[in-house]
Amino acid sequence: MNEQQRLYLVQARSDWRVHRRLKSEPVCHRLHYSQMCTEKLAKAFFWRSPGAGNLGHAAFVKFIRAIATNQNVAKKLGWNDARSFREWIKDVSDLAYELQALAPSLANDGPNPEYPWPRNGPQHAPVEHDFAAWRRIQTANGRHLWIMIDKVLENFDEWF
Amino acid sequence: MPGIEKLVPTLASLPRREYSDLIRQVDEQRRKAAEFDSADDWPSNAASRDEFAVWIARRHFAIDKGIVRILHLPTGAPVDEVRLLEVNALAQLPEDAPVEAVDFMPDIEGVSYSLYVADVTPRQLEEILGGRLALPDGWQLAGHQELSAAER
Repeated sequence: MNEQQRLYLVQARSDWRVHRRLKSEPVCHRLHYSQMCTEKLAKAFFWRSPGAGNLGHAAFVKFIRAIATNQNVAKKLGWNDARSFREWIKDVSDLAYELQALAPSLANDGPNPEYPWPRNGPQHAPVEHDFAAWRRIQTANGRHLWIMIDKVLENFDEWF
Repeated sequence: MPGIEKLVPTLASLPRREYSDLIRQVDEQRRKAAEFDSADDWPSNAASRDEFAVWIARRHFAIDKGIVRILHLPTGAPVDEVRLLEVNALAQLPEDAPVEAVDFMPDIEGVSYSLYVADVTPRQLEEILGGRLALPDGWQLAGHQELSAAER
């Protein structure tokens, strides 16, 4: 692991720890930290090569695509069957798009976990909003995504 | 087939048991269909670079709903390296930044190809095809192969 990867990894791990401490707080805060954590985790992965500087917020979806061609990680996550793994990754990819779209700069002046919107005449606050992304994360696939993030953060050095 | 806008309220109104049975049936049919698709298996160590590129493309098309085109750019690439230009209509990419490729680090038993992917928007692809936007260093458009989704 190079220094750029290590820096993103330690920050992602820290974001994840904060995310876990927010269980009793409004959902927006957990979404905010999970969005930031997943973006940094993805950047830790891609910083192995120099082209990672322009990934922006759209890193996590790309990371999911990369994981889809990693048989070793699939096995470590408990997927011995390539077809089932592919189906799961497909669903998780959709969730990843939703998580990534929560970044205020990608939210198109709509729901995001940080700032009231719309910007020029706020009508909604994140703490009062019922996030559709959060409801989808409560599904079985969403819970498995959480488990995957947990395991990848813990085993990053060994798996990649 | 009814449109999604009609399908969703119809399914939502089904009793819980009936809905679970339906989902099981649909899932079974999808799995059966998938059994006929060899691209669902991991590629073998005998796969050529072109075959590996096709497998990767089919997998990426299948899992990422934003990908609309994938170009394989073998010209000038090392013999064990696959270079894919993936056109994504959903990903938010910085349109004015240079096109960069990142190492996807595939890890598949017996397969030793490396994989570099550069994501671009549809507009960026037009610019690249028109010679107005540069590919990553060392990448060449000449001799590119358009890879298809086959099964999505």
